[in-house]
Amino acid sequence: MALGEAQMDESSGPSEDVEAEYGWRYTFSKVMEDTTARWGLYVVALVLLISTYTFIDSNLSQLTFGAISDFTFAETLPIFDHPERIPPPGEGEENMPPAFHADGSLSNPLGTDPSGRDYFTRIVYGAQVSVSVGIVSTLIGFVGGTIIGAVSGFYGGRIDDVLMRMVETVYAIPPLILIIVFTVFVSGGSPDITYAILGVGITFIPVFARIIRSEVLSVREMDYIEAAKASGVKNRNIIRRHVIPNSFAPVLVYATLQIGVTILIVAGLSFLGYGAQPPTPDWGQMLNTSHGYMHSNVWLSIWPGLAILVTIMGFNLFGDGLQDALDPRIND
Amino acid sequence: MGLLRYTAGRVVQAIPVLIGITVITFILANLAPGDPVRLMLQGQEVNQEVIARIERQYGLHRPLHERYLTYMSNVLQGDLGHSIHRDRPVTALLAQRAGPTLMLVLSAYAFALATAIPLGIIAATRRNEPTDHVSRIVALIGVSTPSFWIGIVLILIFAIQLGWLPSSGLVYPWRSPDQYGYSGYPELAYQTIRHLLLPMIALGTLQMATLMRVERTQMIESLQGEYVKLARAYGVPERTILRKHAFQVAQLPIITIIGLNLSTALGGAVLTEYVFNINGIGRLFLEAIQSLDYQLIMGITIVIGTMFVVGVIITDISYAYIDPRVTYGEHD
Repeated sequence: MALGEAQMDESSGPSEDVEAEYGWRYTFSKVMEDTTARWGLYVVALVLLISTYTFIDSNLSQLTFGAISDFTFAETLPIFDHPERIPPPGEGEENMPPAFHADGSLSNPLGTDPSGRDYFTRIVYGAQVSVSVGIVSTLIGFVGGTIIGAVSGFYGGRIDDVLMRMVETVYAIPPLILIIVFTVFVSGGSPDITYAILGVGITFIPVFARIIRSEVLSVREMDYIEAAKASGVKNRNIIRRHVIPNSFAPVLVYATLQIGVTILIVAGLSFLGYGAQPPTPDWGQMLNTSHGYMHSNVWLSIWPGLAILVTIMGFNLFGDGLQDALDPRIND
Repeated sequence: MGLLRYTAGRVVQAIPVLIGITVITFILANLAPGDPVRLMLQGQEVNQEVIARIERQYGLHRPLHERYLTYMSNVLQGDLGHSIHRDRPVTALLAQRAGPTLMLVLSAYAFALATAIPLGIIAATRRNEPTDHVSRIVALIGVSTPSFWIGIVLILIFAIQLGWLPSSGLVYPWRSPDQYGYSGYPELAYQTIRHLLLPMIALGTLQMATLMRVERTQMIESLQGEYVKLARAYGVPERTILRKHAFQVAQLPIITIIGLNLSTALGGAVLTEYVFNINGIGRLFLEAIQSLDYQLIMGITIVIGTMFVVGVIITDISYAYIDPRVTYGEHD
């Protein structure tokens, strides 16, 4: 990837290397000093850990080419069940309330869903969809936006005008609506989480492009760009080696905050039935199912929402902390 | 004179964006795998003749650019096409559903402004005191919670558990009380508010949280301004300083945020209308997507995109009108 190369090139000189390392270490320690940002980081780390584990677990049969089929690590732990398998009739009780309720039991700490599956297992396994969608689609928006924004800001003039009008256009349609239209039409009427990821990613390209562009506009005027131009470095390489790395920090902050927004939107998408499809456990999709049981089992609608809230809050707190650490101007 | 020219300039700038919106929706709807007719007739056994007839009826056999030009010339004449599924003009369907959505979005903004501005000011004047921390936590939860989940929780508490407020539908104040079987206009007004309360809060919370954050930062910045120091030195009472000096300056960014957030609000309306069973444009959009009624989908997307563009232009112009520091000649 161009970005990675650019960073490596940049840190080739010994003095720059020390400086860069000092910068990142400094940022990290600043984030850790901030109590709320630290807790945000803990939440993010926990959610990432859970989703990595559940991702490996639920894709085990694919990873082993079917040698271990329909088996989950989680089943070997007493608190988990298979996240997708519906218990045979008579075995699992449906719509059980959580353990602290008089009718609940500790074997299903958060109760069971309308099909009799353990809700706690499904909440835990739901993390991977939200988080992977959040990160992957933010990455798509990030990479696409960086390229468009950098080119637009660096060259200016006609290219800038055309690109920015395009960006404004995508910006003008509410993301949720654009993503639903994209998902439904591109998938030919059978929406799926893959299309949702792609749709969300593409929709967020303009957002990133705008931020990168405004950064590039200020970086462009720097002396080192002038120097690089004077010594005959190609424009393409100037963008790659100097412009992008130097406009990086604010976009990184934005990307962290954007992961939260993405998870929020994808939850809405799944809630409406255009994201993850059953039986995949996903928080938004679980809220969709529980919508029909609001009178009979209140808790089904509470847990997935709380899971979304805590995850997004984690990303937001961490992002805010990162912003304070990287940009002392906004620090209050 | 300058302001007039500025207004005209902003409108001219918006034209490419508006054209862009139609191009994007048109391409998404028409380049999808499987043409619109087959998508529309999904699952139904139809022979080639029927398909050919429908294609001719809607001009789908002609090349894409020709169809786009025809569509655009119709749009310019105020004709957004014809809903195949409902056999009614798209504009008529939209006009019928616009009222509830406007009522919902505007009331959500009213709620957001009425709560965010006082809370933001209180947080700024009592910085780092308990009141400030509480308001920051509220704002954080507000930006981290999906609006549809807030709606679900509100229904669970106020409609299902307490039974105080209705959980679905709206009462429209522009209809006569007899249509609902109410005794008169006071009851109509009362019921309108009762029905509107929960969806308004569900949709408005995110706006409230974002506005409150901005209001707080702006007020803090404004209170540190030289003019405030000077006023204090002259012995102007703190209340007057807040009201006359700090407040007015701090409101300008709020206007911009309102305009830009219109996009999230319109997207959020889709989810809120779904949760609360409100027959607005958002629900119409979901119904259109469900039946793959592509003329209706294009019509809704274009109208919503235009609403956003117009909203942004209005905020830009009011910004320039209120703030004398804005120079009309510059763009961006």
